[in-house]
Amino acid sequence: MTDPTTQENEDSLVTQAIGGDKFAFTQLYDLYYDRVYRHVLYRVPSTEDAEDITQVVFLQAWRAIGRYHITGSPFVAWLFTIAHNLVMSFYRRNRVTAQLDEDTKEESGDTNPERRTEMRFDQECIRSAVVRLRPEHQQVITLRFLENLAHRDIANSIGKSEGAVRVIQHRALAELRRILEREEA
Amino acid sequence: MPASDSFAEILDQSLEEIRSGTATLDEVMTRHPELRGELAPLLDLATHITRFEVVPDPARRLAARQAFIEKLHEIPAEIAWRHWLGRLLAPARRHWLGRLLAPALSLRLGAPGLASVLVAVALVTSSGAVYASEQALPGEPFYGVKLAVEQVRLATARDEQSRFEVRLDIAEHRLAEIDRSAATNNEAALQAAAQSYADVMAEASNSLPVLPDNTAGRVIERLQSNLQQQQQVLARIAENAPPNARDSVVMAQAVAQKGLGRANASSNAPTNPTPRTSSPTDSKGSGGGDSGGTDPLESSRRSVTPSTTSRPATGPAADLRATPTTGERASWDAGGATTTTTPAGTPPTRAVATPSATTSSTVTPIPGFGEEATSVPLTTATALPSRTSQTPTATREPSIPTAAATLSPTATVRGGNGRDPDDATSTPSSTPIRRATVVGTGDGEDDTPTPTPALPPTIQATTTTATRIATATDQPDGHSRDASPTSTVVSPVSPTVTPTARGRGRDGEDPTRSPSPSASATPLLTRTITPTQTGHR
Repeated sequence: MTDPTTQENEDSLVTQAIGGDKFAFTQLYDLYYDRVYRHVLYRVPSTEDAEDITQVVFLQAWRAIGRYHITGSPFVAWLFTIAHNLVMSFYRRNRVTAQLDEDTKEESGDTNPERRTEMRFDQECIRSAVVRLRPEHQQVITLRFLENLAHRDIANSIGKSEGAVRVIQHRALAELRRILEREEA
Repeated sequence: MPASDSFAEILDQSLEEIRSGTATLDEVMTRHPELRGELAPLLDLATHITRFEVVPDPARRLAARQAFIEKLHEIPAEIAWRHWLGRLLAPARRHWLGRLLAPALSLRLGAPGLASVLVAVALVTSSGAVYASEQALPGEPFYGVKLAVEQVRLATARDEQSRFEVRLDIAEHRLAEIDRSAATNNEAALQAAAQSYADVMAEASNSLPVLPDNTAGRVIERLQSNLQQQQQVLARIAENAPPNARDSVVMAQAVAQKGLGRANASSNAPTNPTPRTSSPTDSKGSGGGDSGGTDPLESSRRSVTPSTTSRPATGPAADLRATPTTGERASWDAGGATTTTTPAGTPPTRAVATPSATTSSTVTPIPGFGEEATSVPLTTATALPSRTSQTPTATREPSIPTAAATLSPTATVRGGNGRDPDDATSTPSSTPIRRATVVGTGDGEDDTPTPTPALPPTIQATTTTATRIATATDQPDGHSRDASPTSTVVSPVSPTVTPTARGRGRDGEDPTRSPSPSASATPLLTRTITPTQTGHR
């Protein structure tokens, strides 16, 4: 759950940014850069692509900030939506297969090297399967399981009802499972 | 599909319980034994999708932040009119007249309310309020009126030259406010005025290249004269400014310095025989933000003298297009993509290094400007990382000055490595330095860069901590140009963007609408990797 103080601070920054306050928007950039970067990197092949797209996410957000309305959902959900569109566009143009970047630095809380390797392998498999899902399924899976957003926020983000989000989540997991099983086979 | 919906509900509820730790997988299964076959594998899989813990490379993050701040000052945000009006009238609300008109100023207005506001504004602005506002400082009653009057002047200026001169007037107003705020120890007003000064001066300097040739000399002279005086005032105020406002004043000082450098360069640059309006790249659609109509190539041709040109460290002397030193080259403008070419044999990632790093100095981009022309010496020097190793090999011939690729506003540049054969906007010989990124646009409406809005908001500039300002062009003897083992790494390609993700929170727009494949090419980053750069916060 979001800390109310943090949420209040975010709302205040967003309000100022909507009014054209660059300083406030830069603070939002600092707050959310890492999350947006991670979110994008999960879905694109390289850190460079992730950096570029992340940058664009924020510039796009700045351009369009006047159309943003505070609704109670986290601001970052809106950034994720922009990121999603940009990632989709990225794949449409490049048609590349996502592979985990060698430069990617993973920082897991687990210090056991064997377990970390195993986890990374799992994560790589899952990640490569996730990026093969349909865009909408990708979005729900990443927002739900990687970003821990609530159904309501995901629903706002993708413009569907919470019930629809649950159904998409179910279908996405089922599809993910099929992909992983096919790969194992 | 009630059954499917029901299963989705059970799956979701079970996931919630497992993720929150209130139930285990086995416990959930015992409650739904009939669903074990389908539910268990999905729950198991879901629990394996864990947070992707990756940290961005700190140096690159810093470089990205620098580039972002720089672009932020070039791209006008689309400010909702409500916020505009609210900001405009905020000081008035604290005034007796504002309180009197409070119902009308609530902004929850129907047509009659809005009419009342307009009438009130008209009355206020047409009376002594305008006079009273002239001495207003940020945050004071009538300051909004003062800004409104300025913006009206800007919006009604008949041509670029007039707009330029209005901006100079506005900068003078801000400087007077800075001076008065400092004299009265009004820290908030000082900060706001300094930031506003930086913004307007950056806008003025950015518009230098679009001034008509026949009048450019006169207005540039005025700019030079103003800036010389203003720098002195700012330097004096910066010395005694309160800590919170000092950054803003220093940044304003840096912007003034940069503007002076650019004015000097412009006054020395040969006049471009071709009217800008005839240039195919001279389109509002090719840029973004205030410099939307500023062709970076044009700008660099006009305002950069060879002596100030930063060249690839190891490559042959490149033409100005290949290595413009002005910030507009920066790759966000569509035209910037054409500057990402590298002479054969030059490392594809262009490292612009100033010679002989003997003292501590870091090239620091100034918001609203490119990062190369102004150096803000800081206290430390650091070897700067480069992204060269990630760059595909450059194979193209040295770029030809006249072979400017025209990037149509409707084209998306993603031409990295020449892998994008359908990118009609790429010059055949042009190989981007680094892999290109194409990012399409969300919708067409944002593809068109927004020119300076008729009534732009008063914007607070971000600030960068700096201690002194110097430009490379200021030290022709080279003694002070020791600056920097600083590499400016240009990431020429850039995702484009535009658009627009319609996020939640938008009015009736579909947040999932995918960007159209057609998009304006907007190069992404000019990265100045400066690990020692102190951010503005």
